[in-house]
Amino acid sequence: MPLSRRWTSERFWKKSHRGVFYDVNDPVQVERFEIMKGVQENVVGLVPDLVSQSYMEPIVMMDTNVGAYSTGAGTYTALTKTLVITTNTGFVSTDKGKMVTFREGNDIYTAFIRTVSTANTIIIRGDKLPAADIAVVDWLMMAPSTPDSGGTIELTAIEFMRVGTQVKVRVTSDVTTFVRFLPEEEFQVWDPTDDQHSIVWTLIGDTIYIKKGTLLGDFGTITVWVPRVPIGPTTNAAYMDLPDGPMIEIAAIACEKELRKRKGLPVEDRSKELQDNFRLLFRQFDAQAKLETIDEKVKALA
Amino acid sequence: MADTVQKRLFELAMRVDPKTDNQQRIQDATSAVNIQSTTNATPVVVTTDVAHGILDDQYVFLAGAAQAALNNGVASPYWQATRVSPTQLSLNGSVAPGGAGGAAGTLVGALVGAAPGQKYPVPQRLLDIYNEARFETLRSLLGIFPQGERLLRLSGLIKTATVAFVAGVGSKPTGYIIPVHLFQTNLSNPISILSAQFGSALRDIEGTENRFVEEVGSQFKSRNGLTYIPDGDYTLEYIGLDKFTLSNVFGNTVTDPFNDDFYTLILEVAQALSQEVGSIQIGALIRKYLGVNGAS
Repeated sequence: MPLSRRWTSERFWKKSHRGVFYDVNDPVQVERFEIMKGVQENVVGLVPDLVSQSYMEPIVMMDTNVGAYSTGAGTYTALTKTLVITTNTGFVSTDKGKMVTFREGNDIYTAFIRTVSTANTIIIRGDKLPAADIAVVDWLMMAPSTPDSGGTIELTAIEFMRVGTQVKVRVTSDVTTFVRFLPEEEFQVWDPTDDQHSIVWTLIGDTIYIKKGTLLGDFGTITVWVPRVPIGPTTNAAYMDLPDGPMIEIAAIACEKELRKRKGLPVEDRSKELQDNFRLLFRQFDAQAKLETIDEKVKALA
Repeated sequence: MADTVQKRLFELAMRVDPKTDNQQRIQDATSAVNIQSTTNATPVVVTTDVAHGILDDQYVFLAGAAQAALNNGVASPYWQATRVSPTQLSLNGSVAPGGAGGAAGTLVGALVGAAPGQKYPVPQRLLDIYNEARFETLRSLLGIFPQGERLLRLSGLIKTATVAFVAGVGSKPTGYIIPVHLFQTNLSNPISILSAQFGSALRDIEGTENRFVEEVGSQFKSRNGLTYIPDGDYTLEYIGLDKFTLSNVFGNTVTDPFNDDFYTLILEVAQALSQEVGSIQIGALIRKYLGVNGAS
């Protein structure tokens, strides 16, 4: 299910605060993007198994030692998580998903490339990015995220949805299409001579363990697909990072409720609307849910 | 159409201090008579086109006379006169101005704000009370009206000013009370004006379409300097209130920008203030007037 290209944050916000008056000099006006971001995370967090497929994003683990490095100082904008810096090779679209490390004074940050905007501009993601703008990024290195010799890939630093009945992670390789997930017990006893063209993997905690069959010379370029966290809007024209339809309706109700709470206004009971929309949401994703499951989700937003 | 400050002050004088210290009735410009001529003698004799009604030692206010030295103002707010005839009087203490004057200007007996009142010998005091009543009324109205109604009911007080920002700092205009809008080129990307307590918490989420400044003393300040508020001129719409001066009263052209429906309320508040009623009771009076319950 693709994400919305109809609901800009401006349109969504207008829908959400209909009937809740505030003027532009209210802190809510400045907080609106944060509020929408929080609402997105809340509602997606309620149905991760249902929607995580819509948020899958690749992280490329290159089987090479060739990376890139900065050739001058750069800048970082915290709000949009944008790094502007010139490198020896320039960023290219296939760099999406690669790991970068950059420095400001004594502080070292590690992140992954979410978007390559231009040859010297990237948007990054990560769990511990700088909270404030950086006027001078001292240097940057883009690493060739190679699986280590022990066949492990660390996901600790990667920001993704760690919710749901199971963490939705997929692994692919460019040297074989036979890449399979195995439960831990089977992975431990897997024999590489039995399945010589395959790559198998398992996930334990935040580490992916990976093995290859005897006929494969290397892992190739491994791409790990993880369900990313919804991206909060930072401009009026930015699209809501939600699927169209019931999810938008649910988020709008949650957003209005949050707004009413902040303004000290009475919050009306919209449980019936939420129930109907959750039901439609499950139908939209060809899934079914028990009434009590839907009620639990409605209560979580009440 | 709003009344002039002079008319409003006259209405207040009629309620609280209607006579001068020598029992002359306070007037406004509607009681003016036209000056026919003035002499070049000591004292100066003024001839009016109709009966002036002034008795000996009563106050007169001259405006627009051909001989400018005879005109009254803040520095010299009145003459005391000696009646010569029904249409002639002499100005006590005046000296020949260097030439006779023709038919120009007006004469008002005991103009409000110029002549010493019986209760308030210093006329400025009456104007101070009126000004205080306006501010007291505005303070209460801002608390009473919900945000959505406030700007509509107080639309007359909305002013526009240009604020120059340098390094993220701009100065508030004189008379600034609360903000309405701050923007650079158009209202689609307004800059929120917040109280200082929010700045540190919101600093990190400020962006190009999510801008704000804080009110700090007499200035607006951006927590992020000029990053999101580039140097330049910005348009500020705000609710503002300036104190009237005696010049505003004498000129009789300046009007009170308060919406007309609060005209009587302000006079009621001013009357209460003149009776030394406390601000709590004033607040109650305003609420009662507007039919609103609760404390001020």
